[in-house]
Amino acid sequence: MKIVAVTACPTGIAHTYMAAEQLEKAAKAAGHSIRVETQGAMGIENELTAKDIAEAEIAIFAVDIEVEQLSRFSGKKVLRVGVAEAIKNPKGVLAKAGA
Amino acid sequence: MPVEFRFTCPLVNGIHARPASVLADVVRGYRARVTIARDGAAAVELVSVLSVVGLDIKVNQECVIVADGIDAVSAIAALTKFVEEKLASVDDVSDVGHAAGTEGSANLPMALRNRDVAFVSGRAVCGGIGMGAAVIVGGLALSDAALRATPVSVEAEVTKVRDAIAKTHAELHTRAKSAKGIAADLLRAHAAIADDPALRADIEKRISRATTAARAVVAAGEAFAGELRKATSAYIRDRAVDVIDVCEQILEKIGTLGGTTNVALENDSVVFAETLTANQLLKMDRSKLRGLVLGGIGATSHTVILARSFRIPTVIDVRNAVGLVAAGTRVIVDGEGGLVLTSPGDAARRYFEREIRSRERAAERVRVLAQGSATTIDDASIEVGVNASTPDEVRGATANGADGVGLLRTELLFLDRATAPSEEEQYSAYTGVVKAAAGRPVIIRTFDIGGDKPAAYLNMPEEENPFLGVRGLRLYEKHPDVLSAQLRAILRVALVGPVKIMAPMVSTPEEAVWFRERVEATRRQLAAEGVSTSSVPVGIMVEVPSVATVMDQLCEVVDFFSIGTNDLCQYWMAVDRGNAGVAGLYNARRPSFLRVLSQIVRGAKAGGRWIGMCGEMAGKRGNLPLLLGMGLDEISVAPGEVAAIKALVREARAEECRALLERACACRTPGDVDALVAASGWRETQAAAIVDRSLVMVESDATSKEEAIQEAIGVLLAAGRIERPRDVEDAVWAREATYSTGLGFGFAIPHCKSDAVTIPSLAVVKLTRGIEWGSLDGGAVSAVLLLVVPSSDAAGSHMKVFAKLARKLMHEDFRARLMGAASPEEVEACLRIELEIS
Repeated sequence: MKIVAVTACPTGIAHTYMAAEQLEKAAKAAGHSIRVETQGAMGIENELTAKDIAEAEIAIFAVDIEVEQLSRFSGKKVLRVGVAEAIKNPKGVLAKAGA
Repeated sequence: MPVEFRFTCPLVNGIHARPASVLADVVRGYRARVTIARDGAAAVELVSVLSVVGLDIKVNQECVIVADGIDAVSAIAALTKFVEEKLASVDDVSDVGHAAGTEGSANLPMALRNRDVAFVSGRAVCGGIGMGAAVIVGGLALSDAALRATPVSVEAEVTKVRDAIAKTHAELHTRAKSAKGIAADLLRAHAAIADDPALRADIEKRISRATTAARAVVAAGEAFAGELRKATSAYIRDRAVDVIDVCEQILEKIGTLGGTTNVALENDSVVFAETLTANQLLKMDRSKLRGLVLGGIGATSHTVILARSFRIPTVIDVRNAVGLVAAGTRVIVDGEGGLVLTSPGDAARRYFEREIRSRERAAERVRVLAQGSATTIDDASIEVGVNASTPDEVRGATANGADGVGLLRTELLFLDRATAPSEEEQYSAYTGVVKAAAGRPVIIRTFDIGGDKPAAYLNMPEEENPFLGVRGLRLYEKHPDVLSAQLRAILRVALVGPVKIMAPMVSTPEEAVWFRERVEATRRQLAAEGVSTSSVPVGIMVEVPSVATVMDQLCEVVDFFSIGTNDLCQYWMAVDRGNAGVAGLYNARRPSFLRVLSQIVRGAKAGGRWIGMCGEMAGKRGNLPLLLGMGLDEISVAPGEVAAIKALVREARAEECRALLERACACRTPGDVDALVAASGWRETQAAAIVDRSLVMVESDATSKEEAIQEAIGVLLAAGRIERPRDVEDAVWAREATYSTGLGFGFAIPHCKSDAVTIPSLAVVKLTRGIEWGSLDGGAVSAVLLLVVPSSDAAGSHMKVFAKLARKLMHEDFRARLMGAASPEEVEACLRIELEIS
């Protein structure tokens, strides 16, 4: 299954990246393909392209703040969870996303 | 026939006890009756210090002294000479900086806010943390026996009081001789109060109404103190405590004091008093005095000034200071937040003990860094001076290793006033700075005023382009009196400590010659008046480009140079840096500018002259390799930068810096220079890797989340990574409030961005026992990784390291290696490898 995700926490120093790592790790272990964009203190990294988003079956937002450039996802099926949940239970988040 | 003399009070704080006592000394030997008066107040005798202080003469107020008697003429001559030459320097200008005090707001540390801590708040006037047993000191009080006593006879009581006054006076004089600085001045002022005819007359008048000597002293003391408390000047009001002080000493000599003058401290103590006298403070065993909690005493009182000079944590304006706690109670004085903790529990005690430890480690680090000269690995030295203007700033800077004052601007004394500052006013101001510099050289720049600055008395015409008009030295020829007063003041200050004179806006060798001649003429004039002056080096600012090509000729005329990069760069590029349309051209790293700077320095060196640099370029750490490459003798920077810059110089190689400068001069654009400097691996902070063994503590006894966060912040403070630890603490807790940073697996990663962070850093604190953190997995935390980032630099390369760390922490093998690292060295090594930090 193809998944895209965005992670973003209030200070953008730590949890954004921990959540990204956890989602990547869990998806890989389950044999899914995932691309995770981080929106942290360094700005947007690993930016999702229109193609990435179009090809993905679902977008996961593991965020505690608003997602930047939200319009890219218009019409996309989105699962929104808190950053802490993605860190604590990435497998559960993927399951909720139907993966 | 009465003789009179008029003058304007040159003292910023008015004529208070110290100057009044010196004036009294001047006339004491004469038989003429000498009085002083100011507008709207009756004349009082000049020998009565208390009456003179009571006149409440303020700065710039017109005063008239009248002498009447056989030697009136010579008394006035002596007074005139004294007032014109010395009065201004009598006032220790260093007090002025203290007058405002540091307004500390009552600020309980975050970690203690939920801890039910009892505290009272006041105003912090001297920082630091003090812990000890409360010692309560009362005011003027008589012993029980003295209260019950009846007068023997008027004659006997008068004799008793005269004896006591004479002994007090003699003792104060003796102590003044062996004391230094502020303490000596103060003791002399007190001696004068003891000897004051008005005070003695009042005491004796009271005795004649059938009271004891002791009661008369108490009543007279309270009456005079009461008069002083009515003064409009806060400074004079604060002198009331001086009178109480002297009266206590007299009572002590009569043998009737209530027993609190000599406050005996047996172990670590915090003294509580409504009004503690300076004398009481001086006589205390300061090795045991940990803090002061005071009520009705001002920030400009001698007591507070002394407390600051002894660095005793002090909180003032504390209501009912003597009634807060019972003697012997263990208390904590928080001179940072302006708090007194009257019944500190374990949590508070542990908090402040921890803070004391980290502050001591931080102070030790700065002391070590600031000590000695700034010398590169290959033995090239550079002086690191400061740009400073107040005695307080200079004192702080010299304590932190500044080699001198590279630029003392004097314009502030000249602006926004109706007349030019007098020689005495200037002498007084410069004396304060030179004293604070404690033997290190001070470069005083003569006034640099242009048509765009308000100084109406200079009658400057409206100019089309003041920046290119009559400013700096170009103004001097039209105002010889103003220049002369300043040069006289500076030449006289040279007797107080080493100074140099520097002229602004010199553009030709003829101007330098002219300025030098003015200095020489002033020196001759002073000599003719019997004022000897030592030799004072004369130099110029290098800020007009025309100077660059005639450095050889200037070297023949002046003793030294200092490059003012701000104006030099503007004139060099023909750019007003305040004009957004062209400001982009203004860049001190422009290769053509680096070339002209190199040429100027070479010119000075070829002529054997000392050359320094003041201005913004010198203060930027990133420019240091270029400046070392030029071979400057000195750079003058902001006071807070000295220790850090010295540390950076010690890590540099002059040879590499010279090569770097040569390549920079060959660049085409400032951007190329930036890239070159960045590529050279030059760091703007000393050995400031994000990860370092000095940021690791492997065995912390912290027992709560609050303590663990404070511990980690203390580690950063000790290593010089942050300022204002309480601000960092607030920022960390603000982040915790969104949701816990406890990760699970025994790790927590609190973090923050804050202005109080100077260097992005990762502190690692391992706890000897696990603590509750509200973690994601509910487990205890035994390793705390504190990430801090300066607000201004929240997107730098260090963020990549933090992001990598965050990702790594999601992997069990990394966590196991980090937990297994037992020493700071192992933790550093583990993090360096895993986070790929070279």
